Amino acid sequence: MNIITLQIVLLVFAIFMAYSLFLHWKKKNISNKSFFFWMIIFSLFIFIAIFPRILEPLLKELFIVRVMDLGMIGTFMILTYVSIENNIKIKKMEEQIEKLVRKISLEKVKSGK
Amino acid sequence: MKVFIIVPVYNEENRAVETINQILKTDKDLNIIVVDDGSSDNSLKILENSFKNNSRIVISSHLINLGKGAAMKTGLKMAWELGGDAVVFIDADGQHNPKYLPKFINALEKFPIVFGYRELNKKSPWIRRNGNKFAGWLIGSLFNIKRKDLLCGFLGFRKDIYKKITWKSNRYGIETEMATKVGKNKIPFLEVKIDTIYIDKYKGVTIFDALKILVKIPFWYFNK
Repeated sequence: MNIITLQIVLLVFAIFMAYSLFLHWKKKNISNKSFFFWMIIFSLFIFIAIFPRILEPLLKELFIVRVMDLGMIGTFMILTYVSIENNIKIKKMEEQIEKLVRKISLEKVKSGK
Repeated sequence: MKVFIIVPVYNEENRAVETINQILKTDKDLNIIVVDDGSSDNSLKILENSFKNNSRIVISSHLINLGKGAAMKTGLKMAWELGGDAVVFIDADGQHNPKYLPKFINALEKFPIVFGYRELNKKSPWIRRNGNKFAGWLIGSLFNIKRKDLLCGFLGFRKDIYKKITWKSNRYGIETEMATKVGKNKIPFLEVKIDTIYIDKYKGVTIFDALKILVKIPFWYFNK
């Protein structure tokens, strides 16, 4: 796989993700804020996929040899952030569900149903 | 002291009724709170049909399965609302013999928390025996508590120490988390020897649950 093929794969992936986001936004599954945030991310992704050389000054500054390596580091950082955010939200949601289920359970007993 | 026996139930349609009948036989004055944790079998229906006219038993149920820890907490809230001073937890699957309940209740007069312990001999599954020993050593070293059987769910405590030992674990790890808090807060406790009964080798703490408990230990250690 040469660099052009990889660029095409990345472009197709980013366009697919952007379209998926657009559909969720239209169905009102995500807020305007989230939609624009992720659209900026994927637009940047597309831009870098087309013009990878734009990152070369940054590569030199960070002592990284290839754009791919920088991409991997960036991806890990984003994934870690998203995982932590998801974990916190899921825990909070679990706590809320637990409270609600308990409340219903106790009220049922009190009302004798 | 008003003591409530809390029985969390999850998919125990074949054993729960028998366990509760055994509990009822141990003491005429015992009050029982049964918490069905969203069973997918007929446990709740069977329990309601068997004990609907028994004033000593309160049956509550979760709409969905939340885990044993959550069911225990629901039982607790109910016990405190009904004026309970202490609670004793016993599993519904028959692996805890209710004949020891009077020992637990008597011990709670002197100690704020009472744990059951099984003597893990060569008849017990190897992995459980050694896993329990290792967990006991690890928790003992980190939290300054010496326990004979860290994973035993037959335990009781008084209302006055509940806030100090309350747990966040909902699935397995409740007993271990509780032990860490007892160690950290230097709460005096007693251990009561109970029978070692293994009903179903696929139930209880599995190797995967044990690994999850291991991951939680640093959080418990640094959590004030």
